[in-house]
Amino acid sequence: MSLSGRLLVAFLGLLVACASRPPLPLPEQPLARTPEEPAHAQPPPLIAAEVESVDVALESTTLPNGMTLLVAPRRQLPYVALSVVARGAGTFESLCAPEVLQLTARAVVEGGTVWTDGKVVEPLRVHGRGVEFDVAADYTHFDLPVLRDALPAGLTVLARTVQKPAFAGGLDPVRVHAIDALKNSSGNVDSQLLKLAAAGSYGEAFAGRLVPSKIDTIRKASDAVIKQCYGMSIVPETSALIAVGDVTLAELRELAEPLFGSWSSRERSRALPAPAPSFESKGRQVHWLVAGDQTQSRVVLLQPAPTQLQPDDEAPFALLSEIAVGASRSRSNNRLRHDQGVTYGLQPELIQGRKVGLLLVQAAFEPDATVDAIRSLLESFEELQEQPVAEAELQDAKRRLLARVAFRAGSNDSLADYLGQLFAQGKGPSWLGQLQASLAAIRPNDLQRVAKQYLRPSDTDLGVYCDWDLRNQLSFIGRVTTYRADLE
Amino acid sequence: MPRFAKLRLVVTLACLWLLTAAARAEELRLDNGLRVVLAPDASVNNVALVVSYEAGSANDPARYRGMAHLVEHLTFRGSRHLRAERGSDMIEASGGGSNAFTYPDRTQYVAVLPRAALPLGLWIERERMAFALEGIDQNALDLERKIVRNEVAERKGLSWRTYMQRQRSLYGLQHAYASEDDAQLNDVQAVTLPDVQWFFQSSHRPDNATLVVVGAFDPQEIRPVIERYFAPIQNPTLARNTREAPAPKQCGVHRLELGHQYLQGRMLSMTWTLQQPSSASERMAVRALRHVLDGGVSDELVRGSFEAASVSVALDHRQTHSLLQVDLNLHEQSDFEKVEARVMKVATELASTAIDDAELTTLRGELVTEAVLARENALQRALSIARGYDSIEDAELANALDAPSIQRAAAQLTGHRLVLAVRHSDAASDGTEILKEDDPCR
Repeated sequence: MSLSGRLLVAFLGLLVACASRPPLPLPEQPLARTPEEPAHAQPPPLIAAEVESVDVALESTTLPNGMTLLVAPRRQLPYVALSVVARGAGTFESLCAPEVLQLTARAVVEGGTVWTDGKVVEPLRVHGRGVEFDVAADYTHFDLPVLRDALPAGLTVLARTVQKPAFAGGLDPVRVHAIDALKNSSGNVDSQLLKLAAAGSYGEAFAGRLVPSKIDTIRKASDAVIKQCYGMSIVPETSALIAVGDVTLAELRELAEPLFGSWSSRERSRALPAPAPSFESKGRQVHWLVAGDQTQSRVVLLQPAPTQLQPDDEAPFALLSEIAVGASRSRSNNRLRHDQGVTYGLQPELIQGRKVGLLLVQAAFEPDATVDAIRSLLESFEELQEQPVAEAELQDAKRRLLARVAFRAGSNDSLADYLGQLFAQGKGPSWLGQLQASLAAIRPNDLQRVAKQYLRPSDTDLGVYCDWDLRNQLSFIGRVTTYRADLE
Repeated sequence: MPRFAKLRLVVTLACLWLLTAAARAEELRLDNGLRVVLAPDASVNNVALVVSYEAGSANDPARYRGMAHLVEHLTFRGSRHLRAERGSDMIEASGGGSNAFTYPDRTQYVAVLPRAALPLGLWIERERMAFALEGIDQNALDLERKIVRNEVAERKGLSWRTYMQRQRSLYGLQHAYASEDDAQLNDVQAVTLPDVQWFFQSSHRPDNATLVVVGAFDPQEIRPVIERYFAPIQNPTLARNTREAPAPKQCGVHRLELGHQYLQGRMLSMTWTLQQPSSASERMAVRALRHVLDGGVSDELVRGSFEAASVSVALDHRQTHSLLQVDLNLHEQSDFEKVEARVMKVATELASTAIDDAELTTLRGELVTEAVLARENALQRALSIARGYDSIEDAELANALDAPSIQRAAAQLTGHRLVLAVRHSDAASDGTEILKEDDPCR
């Protein structure tokens, strides 16, 4: 529908709504009857030291087969969050096709387990909970939270699941579930926009790893291919058993060594040999996915970011992203949501893996405001390149980042998840303790330096899903390539 | 699970721990009517703060749909002593997070905070309850109308549309729970500043609210802070906004088939209306039913099967009744009728035969594990308290669970229900369309 058509419908709707509804009672005056109390006119102060502390005691050791044990002992609650993290079994790390890697991880959990007597057993559960898995850019993790008294049983189930997958029964149900999951994750507008923008900036191979979508690869992967992928991705030397909760390292070692100590890999861990391809400079490009009549446009904007292999840039860039788009009061959210109301809010994601660094911003905008909103986003990146941020703004961002880490350390589950991520990124147990000091050392010019080094506001690829009315306006952003939405 | 027979002991041990270590919640009511519940718990690392107003989207006056949601947004636009959005900003900078939600029966403001920021969180909620109307002007109203419009437009995906259709089919178009998005958008555009002011005064007030604090705090320190901040807040003299939201009328099996343009596989959703549990043990029996139904349907249709990719079973407690809902993501070739029959086979078995001792022991273990893990989530406990029960009691209740109570709860599954099937349809160019409906009530 054209702009004038939309305005007409809105006007008529408003007219009908106003004309036929009964009036509400009037509010009473004064609007607030509560008397002013000067003592409460200011917010109470915070105890800064308590707010900012990230205090996690960690213990670790390595088993003779190279597997790491990492424990955060906490006695408050009688449960332990367990996780086996396989570094290298990530979509940007493994030699397997990303679709095969996802199928393999699912088959490890759902494809049965070889038990002590050689029989194949269905996936086992401990108090109704089974092993869950997730495949990320750098690693795959297998998780199982258990009550303290069920720790031996939980470790047995986790060890057998990860070490002795049966890959039984032709894997057909597993394959069907994997295809379904892949369709759900890749068959929507945002995934298509992301894939187009990534392909434009980094090439098709990179986009294929960022948004795995080849269903045929899953259909055709033979059992032998799955076993090979398992053998070269999930091996003890590059894996860790992480336990957070009511357990010490000594207790865990006593239970885990007989279970995980005999785990050996026949194949050597093999990873992608080279880092992900670098950003290709081609000028600003708009990948336009043509939509029917839409009440909102959807936009995906992708910017390069440092990887974990650039540690001096990692933390300044995280602060930069927080200020630009991260917080609810980030510069762009301030402008586009709080001041203009043209979006419900931006959805940023900072991906900082070992071989991939990306700042991804997704948002839905009012159609008529789309082009100006994109301009505003890009201008906010240019501002960060041209001017250092204010000291107060930087301090706020540091507090928020630290607070977020402290928050992730707040529960056993989320801390186990975070420690898994740090292990996969090669960050040792001391990294958390040093975080506060390393953030404190960052100055506004560090942010400006990484903004200049990484951000490419005038030379980037955008994915935009909107209708024909915006065709001409999009060309003011950059060179437009048109695509048809293929969401089936 | 014979391999892990020793786990039977776990249930008892974990419960003993929970009973001895748990600090029970303490409840007080201020003179202005504000209900305050304090639940200190040294086993969690932070504090959850919830302020729950007993007014939600079902309180929207006729032809003013979306009003409760709009007012929830507007209360972030500052107050007498706070600039717009500054409250959320201060919470974020303290290391916490905050949000607000408008449900059919209530509007809730929630924050999870480090212990040191609890007084700040309380001060921000005092500002909202006492002085938010002084921060809401025409400019704020214009902006938040746009933001609400964008929020509603963003969530118009399949799951939201299916949810809305289910509401309309269960309750009928005129019911307070069946507010339509598109109508809501039109109504919201015509809301005036005095409308908003009246709605706030009639709903966001101490005598219509519950304030809950759960987690790492000392009640001796915090009780006086709450009294200082909240006791002076005065209720408006105008009447509170109350409404009736009765249980749905059901006459048998109501079937509805929806088409969606972009749906890849198929979905089947079955909803039962359950009587409101009259006691804590009945509430636990319904929760146990949710677990065994989930396990039974997963075994029947998901694990090792080609029928469904996933199943989720949810309980939604409303003011006068509860909804139990089974959602299945089916594969493209799955047959709706066969899948429904297999779900009903599981439900009928649960209603006709009590689960045996071994199953009951396993079930208790599941529920106790869930209670222990939930204990770490102070916000989840605070929300349960705001809804009228304390989830800390769940482990104790799970231990006392018996098979006949689950069977009694399951008996409700053999009667009336809504069966909603969703499949791909090219004709549904704008979201979902009704392909077929058979409602025995009509």
